[in-house]
Amino acid sequence: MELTIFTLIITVFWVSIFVKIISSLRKQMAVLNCFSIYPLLFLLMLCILRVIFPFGFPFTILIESEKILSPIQHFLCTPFTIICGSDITVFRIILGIWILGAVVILTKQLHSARRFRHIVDILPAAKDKRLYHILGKANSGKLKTFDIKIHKYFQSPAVIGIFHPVILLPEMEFSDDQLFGIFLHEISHFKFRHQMIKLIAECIRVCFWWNPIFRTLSDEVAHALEMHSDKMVCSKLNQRQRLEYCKSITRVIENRNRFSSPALYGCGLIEENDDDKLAQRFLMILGNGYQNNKKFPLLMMLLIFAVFLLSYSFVVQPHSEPAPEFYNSGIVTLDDGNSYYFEVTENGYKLYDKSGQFIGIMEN
Amino acid sequence: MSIKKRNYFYLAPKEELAMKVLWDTDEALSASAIAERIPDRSWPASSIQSILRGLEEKGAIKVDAITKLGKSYGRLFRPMLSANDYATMQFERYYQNGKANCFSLMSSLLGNTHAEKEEVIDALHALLDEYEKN
Repeated sequence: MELTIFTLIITVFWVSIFVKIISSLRKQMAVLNCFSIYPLLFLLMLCILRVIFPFGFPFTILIESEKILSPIQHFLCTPFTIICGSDITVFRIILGIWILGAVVILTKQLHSARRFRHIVDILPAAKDKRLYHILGKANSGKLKTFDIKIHKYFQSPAVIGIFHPVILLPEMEFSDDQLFGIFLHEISHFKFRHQMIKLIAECIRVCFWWNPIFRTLSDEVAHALEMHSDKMVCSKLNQRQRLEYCKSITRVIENRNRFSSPALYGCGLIEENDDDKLAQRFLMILGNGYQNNKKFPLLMMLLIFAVFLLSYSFVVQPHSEPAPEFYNSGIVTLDDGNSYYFEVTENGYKLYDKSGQFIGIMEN
Repeated sequence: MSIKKRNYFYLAPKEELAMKVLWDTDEALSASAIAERIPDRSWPASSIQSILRGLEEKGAIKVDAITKLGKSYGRLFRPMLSANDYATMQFERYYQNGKANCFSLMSSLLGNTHAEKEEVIDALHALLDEYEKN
């Protein structure tokens, strides 16, 4: 198992393809109506795993490119100056900008999320008994006790915190049915650890900040998590309550102001301002799109997993010969008939294996 | 407590602990009472005087009364703003006006603009109306 710049490049390539597939599949109501959201969640999970494990494995085939990648590698890796004794190459500059950008953005976002949590902690918990009564009804499993905090600048109901969860509510009037739906939604985010998944997706997005595809990945993850929570909500609401739940979402959007929550703050009732995605959620909620009888066929799951494994099958890299150090210090074990050599200078020989692969130079 | 437009200030960690004590009670408290009520305090109670002086300068607390405390007279303090007002102040400072981040900038450059709020609401209302009619 090895990590190289080439395994990383092939990872970005495959993830881009996966994200495009996910994005297209997600837009197809027919697919969602047929299989619910499980294929989508499964694909997203594999996509995240692919980014977390960008390695080459023993079964990975190395495809060497001599005509295209070798000149590119030569351009990127040839030093054009030396500063403080270290070679400066285009590749090192690009890598430096990439890492610096990721560190700056991640630090900024973590700081912003920490400050947000700190301000939330200052706020006193809501004292309205009606809220806690409805929360108790929604949280019948008694997973964890939640605090409820209300503020006019909360854009949407949300749950924050992994160990000490707090439900945030905007300063608005909600009916009992609407609150019940909202609490079910937020409890479901907490129960399925959606905050963790969102955090991982956001970290991936930050690490690949230069690639817009990873932004789409993060947005698709957020939307899929919202739909997953909606599914849990729908299993406990009747038709009338579902309508009320959708009305509460609309009311929250109407109430939104110009306040911007930090990206890493938690999971909300509304993650996007995209009318297509919101309309899709409504159609799924009101049109019984989350019915339990929809199955994710095993064959489809295996097919998706096969494509995932296929993404590890090859890595394209420039053709290269062994490093110069190898010529001086490399030890090669030769068996009868597995290699040949021929004289190239007065003092040495070039050594090849029987398939014609260059091994190194031998000195007399 | 009225929400007047006040100058922004930030509470240092020790100041915040003192303010939390005042926010948790309806009564005005003396410096020693505030120090006593701070949970897991690891610093000397005498430091509370300088902390309260700092809070007074920021306009976070005021002297509500001067009363006899034991053998001497002491001041009783009351917060000038609620925890909610302080949170509002911090939110307005850091998160209001949808400050653009590098992602939204990049997204805009790529043409991924989101729909206006009114358009989204109209689309959703249309869906709900259609559902209710059926």
